[in-house]
Amino acid sequence: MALLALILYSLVMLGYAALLWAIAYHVYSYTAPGDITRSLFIGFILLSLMLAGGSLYYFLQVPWNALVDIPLRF
Amino acid sequence: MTTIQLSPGEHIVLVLRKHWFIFFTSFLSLFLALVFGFALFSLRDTLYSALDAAFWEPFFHLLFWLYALFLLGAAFVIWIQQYFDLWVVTNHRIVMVEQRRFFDREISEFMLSKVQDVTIDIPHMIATLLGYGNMTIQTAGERSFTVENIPRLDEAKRLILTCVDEERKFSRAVSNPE
Repeated sequence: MALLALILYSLVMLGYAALLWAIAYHVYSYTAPGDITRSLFIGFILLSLMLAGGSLYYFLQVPWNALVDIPLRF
Repeated sequence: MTTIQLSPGEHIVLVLRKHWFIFFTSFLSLFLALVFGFALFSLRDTLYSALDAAFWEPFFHLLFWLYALFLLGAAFVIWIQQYFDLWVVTNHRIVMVEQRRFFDREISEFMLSKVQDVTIDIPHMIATLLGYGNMTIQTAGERSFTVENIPRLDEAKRLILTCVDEERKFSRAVSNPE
């Protein structure tokens, strides 16, 4: 279960990395140096890293292998 | 703008972007989505009577952080779609960059000497109160170009018409040097 969760999480993160790449392409292709979008992009990257780091932390906290033991208490 | 190459003697007179209220309304839906997500996240304690908190507590945190991450990505995509939609008025031409979707851009331009008519339109009460609206430029090619939701319409129109006059004087002076 942990392996499946890791694969799914990696796919989600890869999707986000692709989105970041596409945004970076737009920002550095279509704006001039000093444009506000470039400054915002730096903040965006930092905030993204923080949120991705937080999600990784909680991903590692989840006892994935316990999922097969049915964590529901019905 | 790296996509707009200025010719010798050409300079940018005016850059027209959407009014801040359009940005605000675009981001409002994302903000509401974040509030909605946070409200759902806050309700997770009520589920722990039926769910094993040791598993679901970090799992709900993981979901919420991923949700916030993708909302952040969506916010920047919205910024690009709104901010990259612009008109650049130079002393010779008007360049229109229309960012329709994330990877869908259209760039067109026309010479100021082709401008025949400039019309401004303030479509509703909010636009009247906040001072934004649409501007349509009719060209000699019987094609019209419209920029929507831009601020300071009167000033922009006056500046464009001034540039058009100067361009026509310049064109006449070049064609009749006497």
